[in-house]
Amino acid sequence: MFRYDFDPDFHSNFFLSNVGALQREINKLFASMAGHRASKEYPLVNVWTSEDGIKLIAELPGINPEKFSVEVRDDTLMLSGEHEPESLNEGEVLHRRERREGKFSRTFNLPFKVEQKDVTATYKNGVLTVTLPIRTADKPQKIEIKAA
Amino acid sequence: MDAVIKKESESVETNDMQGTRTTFAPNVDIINSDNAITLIADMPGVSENSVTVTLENRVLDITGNVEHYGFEGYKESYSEYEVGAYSRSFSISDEIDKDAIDAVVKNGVLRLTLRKTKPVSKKIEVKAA
Repeated sequence: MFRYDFDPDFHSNFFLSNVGALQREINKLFASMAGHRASKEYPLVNVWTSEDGIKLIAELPGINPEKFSVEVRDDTLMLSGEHEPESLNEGEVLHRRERREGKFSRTFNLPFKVEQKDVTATYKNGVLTVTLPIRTADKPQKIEIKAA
Repeated sequence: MDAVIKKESESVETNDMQGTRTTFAPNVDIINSDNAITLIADMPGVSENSVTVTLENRVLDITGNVEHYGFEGYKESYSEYEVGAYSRSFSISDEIDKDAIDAVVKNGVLRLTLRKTKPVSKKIEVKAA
């Protein structure tokens, strides 16, 4: 599901970075089409990639952090929580309801095993950011070639 | 309509240094009672400083700016949703006390309380001729 590629030279190459911008637009296009087809997936995420791991960003407005969980196991990440419904007082009538309510859960299969102790999750302005570092033992090792 | 998909705002797209960005119409809940209207809008990414609320001629305007984000050393490799500003207008049929509007932003949710002023209209009794 995730397109995951290491490209350490990415930022130093102007031409490549423009290709990257185009690729992002294409991804968004496909994502919006996928959204119309299978909109049951929630929350929607954006993924940022580096050599050290990924950051997964999700828009989750109005969540009570106590009713929210981020679980990581090996190469699986599960986000689950609840959008609590608005409670109405006496004499109040719900005139329009567009905001999402109820429980949600989404599981991601990551392309690597996660260093569980270094996972961080922050929630700010209704946006969740989960940082998932690659397990050190699984990082690609650079092997020096010696002249014979 | 599924609430997952962000609806595009009817207002024009905003142009900034990063190019054209889509403006979204936030999803709202509206709660009505005899003396107040409560409007709750999902605007993930906005803070209390980036939301503007205006009420003029019974038109309520809500706008919110979201800063572009990025992470040093990271590049965006997969995207399911777009980040952009928010804008939406509402026509309010009730007379609102403009000095008593409460606006609170918490966890990317704007909660507006609009208090209705006492009805000016007088009930006219219809007498039998």
